[in-house]
Amino acid sequence: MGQDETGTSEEAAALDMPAALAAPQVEQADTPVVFLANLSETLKASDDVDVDLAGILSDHLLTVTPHANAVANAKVAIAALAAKRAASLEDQADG
Amino acid sequence: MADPTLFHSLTLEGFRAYLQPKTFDFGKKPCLAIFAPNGLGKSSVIDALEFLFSEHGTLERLGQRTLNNQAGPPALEHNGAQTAGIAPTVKFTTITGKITAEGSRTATGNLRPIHAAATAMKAGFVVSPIIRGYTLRTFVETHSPENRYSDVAGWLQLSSLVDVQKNLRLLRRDVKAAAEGTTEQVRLAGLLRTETAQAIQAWDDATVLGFVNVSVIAPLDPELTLVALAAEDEGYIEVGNRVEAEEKRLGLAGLKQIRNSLIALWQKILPEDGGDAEYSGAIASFYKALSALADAKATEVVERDKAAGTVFRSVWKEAEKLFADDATAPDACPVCATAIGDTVAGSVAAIRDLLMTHLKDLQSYNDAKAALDNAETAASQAHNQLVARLPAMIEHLPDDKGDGFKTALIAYQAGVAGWPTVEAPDSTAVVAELETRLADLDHEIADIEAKQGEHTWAKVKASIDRLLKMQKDVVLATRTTEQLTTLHEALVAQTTLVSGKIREKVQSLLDTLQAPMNDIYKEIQGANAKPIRLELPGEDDSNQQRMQLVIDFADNRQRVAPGGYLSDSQIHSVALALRLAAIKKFNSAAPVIALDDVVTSYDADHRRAIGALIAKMFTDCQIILVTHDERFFNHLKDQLAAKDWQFTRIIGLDPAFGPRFADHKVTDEMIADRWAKGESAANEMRQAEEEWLLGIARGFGVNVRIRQLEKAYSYERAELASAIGGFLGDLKLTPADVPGVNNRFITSLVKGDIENFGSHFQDAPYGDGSIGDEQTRWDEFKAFREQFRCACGRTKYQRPFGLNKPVCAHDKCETQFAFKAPAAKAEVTAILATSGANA
Repeated sequence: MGQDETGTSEEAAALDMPAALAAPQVEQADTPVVFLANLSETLKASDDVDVDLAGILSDHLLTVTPHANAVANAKVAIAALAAKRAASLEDQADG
Repeated sequence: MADPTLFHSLTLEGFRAYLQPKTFDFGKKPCLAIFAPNGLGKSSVIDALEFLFSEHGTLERLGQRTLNNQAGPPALEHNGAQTAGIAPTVKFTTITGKITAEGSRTATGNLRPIHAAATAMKAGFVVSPIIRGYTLRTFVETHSPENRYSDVAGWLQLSSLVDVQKNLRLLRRDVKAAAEGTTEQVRLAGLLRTETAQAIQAWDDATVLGFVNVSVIAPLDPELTLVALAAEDEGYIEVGNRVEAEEKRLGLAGLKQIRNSLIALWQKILPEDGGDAEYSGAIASFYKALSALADAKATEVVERDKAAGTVFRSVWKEAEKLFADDATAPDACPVCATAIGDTVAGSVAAIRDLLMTHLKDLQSYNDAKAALDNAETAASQAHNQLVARLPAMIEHLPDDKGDGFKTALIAYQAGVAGWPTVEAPDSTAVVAELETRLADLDHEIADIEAKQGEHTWAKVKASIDRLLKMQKDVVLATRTTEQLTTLHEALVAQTTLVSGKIREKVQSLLDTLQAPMNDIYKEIQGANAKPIRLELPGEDDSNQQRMQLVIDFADNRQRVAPGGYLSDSQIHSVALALRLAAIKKFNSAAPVIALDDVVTSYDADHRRAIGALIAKMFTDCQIILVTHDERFFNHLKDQLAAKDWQFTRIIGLDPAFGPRFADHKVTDEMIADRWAKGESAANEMRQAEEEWLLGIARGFGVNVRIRQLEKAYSYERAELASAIGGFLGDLKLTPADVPGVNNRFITSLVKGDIENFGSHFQDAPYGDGSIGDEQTRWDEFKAFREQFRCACGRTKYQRPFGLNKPVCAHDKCETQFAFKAPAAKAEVTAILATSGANA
């Protein structure tokens, strides 16, 4: 049943916080850094994956501390990759 | 496992509603519940917690009061703090295991830096520990799925993954735009239009080849064509051969250059009107200047002779003044004093004639001398021009064996160079040869222009070369676009894979949050409550950064948003459950929960359920709770462990002090004080009645009936009264009627007729009566209450195990409970006058 209301005491109290407030279990999940690192490896190891593109994603975006222009840099890298491959095809065509 | 960090004390001083220091000590009881009507300073305690951990030393709600007139940080300070000389501060002590840390944060000034101890504790807050009632509905209904996703991902420490997904989405968009972009094609089309003089607007192999054959090559040779626009094409190779041949002979440009050099030396122009021929060029200019110079020299010689007699020029000049026409002539020579009549001239008039003759001779000589000077200058300039122009012409002439025009022109050049030391050479032969050659050149140029215009094989090849490069660029641009399109498709596949993995990660953590959330939700709303699901969008949804709160409301209402189907209290429960579950799950390092008026939308049952929830599921958390709902407060007192909880209420707000806390039950004096101030005491009366009923129910050891669902809105006092009434009925004890109350008082309590003060006088529940009504009502209650007083005068009972009837709790009395005989009316009046202090 109910209990009396008590005013808060101004006097110093002993340092004995209730045992009920003992530390609960904390789940230790893999950190985002580890998760993203594993994800990069998983991506690169996937079947039929474009490894160069996966490398660009890993280098620029799959990180917890991306560069401020990470997206722009990744886009430039992809555009450069496209140009390089197009030039390579042209060289092959030219013999 | 590390010990959790908790608050050990909290002190508010000059902060918000608190002027004088107020310390909440959590040393013995870590949890705190504060009841107060609105406006008395209860939320200031929660504000203090928010302020302590605020990044910028303010409160979020200070900026929410009005859009354009934010209260801002100045509102942190108690309005009397400055006058009272109190520095607005929140002080605190934390405890981690056995280690305490003190800190404080000043609520004034621009910096208001967060204390290191608060920073350390804040590190344990993955989820904000503060839940304010007014934000709960917003969290469910107004919060966008994107914001909710971001919040939950933040709780799960996956914000960086949210950013990854956002960046992947942006990259997909940018690469798609690049793959679909036509910037390079547009640039090349512009170059093509320029190259073809707007004849071709966009690249097409056949069209460009046709243009080359018809517009570029045909003007020079209609018979020569390219089969393909390619460097290995035989036609292109032939063009190259013709360029080489063209370079070996003098072309149109070269002829024109020779002609320019020639006419820079000499040109004879016959006017169209048939007049005299005119000559131009450096040679003509030079000889013309020489002729002018010779004339000037001759004139100068003549004039010099004439002026030779005027040896005494200054004398003639001075004499002119003496013998001017309008002057009075002297009688004698001013030099030798010879009388005018004795002079050679013999008269003034003769002297004047003589003066005029000599002065004219002087002027003519001066003119001739100036003309000679000018002629010499002009001849010198013409000479310089001729000397400068001759080498260019000589350069264009083929070498000879000493008998050709080049040799002759070089000799002429040497002769000219010797001038003026020697006479200028005769130019007749040179001029004749130049004139002949100019005629030949004009004829040759006219022939070429008539044949091919400005076209040359070099120009043809250059144009074809530019088109070949352009063709290469067009092919490269097309292939690059194709590669970009392929890469975009691969990017979509890879980002879908990555996003899916992140989604799985988030969903798995959401699942771990979803279960406790629903446990909490069902504790509040009952076991039949529809479970809430945290859902991410489907795999094929392009925007994965959203999180829906959904329920299966009915068979034909699956996966619907709660806002449209749940009641207000259910929606609050959803939000409360999610926040509480997240705090419990993620804030283990600092398991503190601050609840600010979270039950405003709940009915009595749900208030009780929340009290039970806290008692059942949050015993491992330090809870600091404020409420203006007294019933909820009483439920908490009823259900929460006394060893962990301290309960206090604010009874007033003293502007010169701050909130005044009550540390005792509501007394009759407190009620009377209300009336004395002309205020309603309805709240205090309800509280006092409930406290009294609780005391009797506890002392009698009655069983409080479990309420039926259909009586969800039954009042707790009615339950208590019902339990007490049932208990007394079993004992066949019946309280006497209360004077002035028609039915039996205990029955009225059970039925709820007098549940809320004034309701047995008025039809509407929660109605307010006048102070007189309240006093009458209170007298009736006190008369009823008086019947429960023991013969020894005490009012506290107990019922030890095995006894049917309660006995006086005083160990020296232990009289079995029995109703006192009803007092006579006069006695009632006397009792009422004295019973207050013993209530």
